Amino acid sequence: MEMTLDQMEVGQKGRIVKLVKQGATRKALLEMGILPNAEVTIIRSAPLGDPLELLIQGYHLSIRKVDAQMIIVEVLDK
Amino acid sequence: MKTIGLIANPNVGKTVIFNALTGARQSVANFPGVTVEKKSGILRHNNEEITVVDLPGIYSLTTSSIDEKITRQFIIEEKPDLIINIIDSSNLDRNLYLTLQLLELGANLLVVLNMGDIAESKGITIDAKFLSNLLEAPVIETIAPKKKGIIELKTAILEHSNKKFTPTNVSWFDAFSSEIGVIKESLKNAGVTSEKWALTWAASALLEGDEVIRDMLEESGVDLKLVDKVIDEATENLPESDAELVYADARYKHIFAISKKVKTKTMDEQWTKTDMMDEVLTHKYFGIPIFLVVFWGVFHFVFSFGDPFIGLVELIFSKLTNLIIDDFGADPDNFFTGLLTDGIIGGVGGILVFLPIIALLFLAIGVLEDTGYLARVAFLMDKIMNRFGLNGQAIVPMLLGFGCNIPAIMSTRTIKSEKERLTSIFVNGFISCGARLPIYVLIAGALYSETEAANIALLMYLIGMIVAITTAWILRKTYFKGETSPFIMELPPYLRPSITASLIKLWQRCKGFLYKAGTLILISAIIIYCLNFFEMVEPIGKVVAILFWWMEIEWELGAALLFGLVAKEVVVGALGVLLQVENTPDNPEDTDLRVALKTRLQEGSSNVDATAFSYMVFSLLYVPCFAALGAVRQETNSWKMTIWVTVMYIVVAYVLAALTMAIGVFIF
Repeated sequence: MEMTLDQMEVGQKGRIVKLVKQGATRKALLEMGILPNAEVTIIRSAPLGDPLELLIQGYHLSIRKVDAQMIIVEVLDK
Repeated sequence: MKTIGLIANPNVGKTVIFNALTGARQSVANFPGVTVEKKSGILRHNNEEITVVDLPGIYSLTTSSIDEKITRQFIIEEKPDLIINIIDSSNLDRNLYLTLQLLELGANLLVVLNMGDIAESKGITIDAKFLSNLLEAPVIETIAPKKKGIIELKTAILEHSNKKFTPTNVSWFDAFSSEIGVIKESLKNAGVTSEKWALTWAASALLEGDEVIRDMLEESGVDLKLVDKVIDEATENLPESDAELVYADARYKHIFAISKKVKTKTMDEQWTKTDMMDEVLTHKYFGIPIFLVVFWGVFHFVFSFGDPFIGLVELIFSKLTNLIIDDFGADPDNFFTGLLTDGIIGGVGGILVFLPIIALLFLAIGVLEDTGYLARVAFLMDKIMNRFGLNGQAIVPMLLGFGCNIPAIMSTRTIKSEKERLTSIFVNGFISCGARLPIYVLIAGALYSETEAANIALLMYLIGMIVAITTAWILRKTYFKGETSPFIMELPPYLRPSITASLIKLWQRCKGFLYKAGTLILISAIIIYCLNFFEMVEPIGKVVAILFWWMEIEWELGAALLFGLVAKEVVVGALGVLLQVENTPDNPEDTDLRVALKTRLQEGSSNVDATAFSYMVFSLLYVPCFAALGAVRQETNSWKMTIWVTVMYIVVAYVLAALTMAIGVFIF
């Protein structure tokens, strides 16, 4: 099932399909390892609901929900 | 002397390695043209000396932040004899991204696999020899906090720094190989020599759309017209995706290929200590309260631990005063005795007394910085900061500002959006630095109990923070209008701060403070004493007091504010000089500045509490110090903005101090 990264629940794991929308943000995300085919797990969201904490390429990265919207993922398991 | 540079991602233990290589033989200067702090030190090993430059921690070399720009400039222009690239073994893949970019750049590279112990605890082992073969660069393994591998690293540095910087032609961009080849040719035709540039790198950077490299080539007189034509043709032929995706993808593909060969993982993802701590520290309900408690705790630690030491230093200076008075007599009209006791001891001693709490504050902020907790604070506060037009990361310079505004202003260089960076620089002056603490301690300490004084100081910090954030919000709505930048931040594993690293950092900050006390404040104290001896301060102070008529202060306090424009320590120093003049001669035992201050406050004001608060608020908010303004000037590279900022500080301080007075009169 495909959805955007911000729609995934805490603890869910997915595989990145693609990053829509070009620009500096996407470039930064790519360099940090948010690439097509990479596996990503949602660890938690911050106390106020935003940003998210992700597990990607074996490390923890935090991004905002608004940027997570440009990341299309395929959910792997619950 | 040979020069080597240390380059790494943030949070991989670079500073610990830098300290291990250079010991305390370090100095801080600036990179040419910009004020990014350039920390360098001398490595001595086997009778050889090498300059080691500690470059800022970065994830990539694509020049979106000043840090990245500087690092790349350093490699291209200063051509260091060797680049030491430190890698976190427990996070090999992402760390290798920078390594590949360094190889693309043709740097003479030595890779250090650090934090092997943390990797091991995660069940990760890396075959260093194999990695070295694949990267075609030497690889040394270290566990820096345990000094493991440091001798080997030193020896390897000596050995490999003898090689010349030779641009190599590595490339993992098969997809572009023909395009890169064509651009390379046209670069060559345009007169770019492979001696000066790693041509493949320059060609692929141009293809990737790198603005900085364009400017550099154009500046050195290269005509890029032909090159541009080739690039246009090349990008037209690109597969469906664009260059930046293809580039990142190609690098990571190469990384995965390497990592697959050299890395073995015997455990699945483990529940680590960091995960456990984050469960609590970033908890949905407890996370933010814990952050507040942590900072409240820091300040209380600073006060309760520092206070006895203040007494001790005070005692030393009062003994010194007595010694001088015993020897020379306590003649109030004697210029030289007065200069020694009231001028120098009163002024410089008046501020040195606070060294213990300032040092503790530096220590506490430094330790928090090193643990990785500040990244969590940015994570916790991003949504709030975003409301005010800033990025969560902007909270870090603010928290660092509690120690000293200058490194805090410099730390804004990691903020990628220029408008947000400038906003952060502008408002940092409102953050109460360590040098302002003595003012609160002195004034609140003169009027209230110790606990009350500590809480009042805390309140001042809070007011500074609120003013900073509110001003940022206003600036982002007006002068620096624009979208907020994305928040993309690593949450690194928590690290136990290294004692040596903390102490070295503490010593450097204290050294700065002592240097200031021995130069700027000493000179100010002497000038103030001399002016006062010839009765020139009183009229000046009276003018200031008239400007602040609503605050109801005596001239000494007014003059102190004026002299305090130079540095906040001078406020206390000036009060030390001016108030003790009136108290010491008759009664040399009664040298307590607080008593003198309390008397003067009561003499001037009809509402001492309101006056004291108003005075503290003004001291908190007006011009941090000349040095901080210097940092603003250099970081903004604009006199106009610096003057603008200075005016803003003074106006905001004046208005809010008046408001405080009005509210104070109403409450007290």
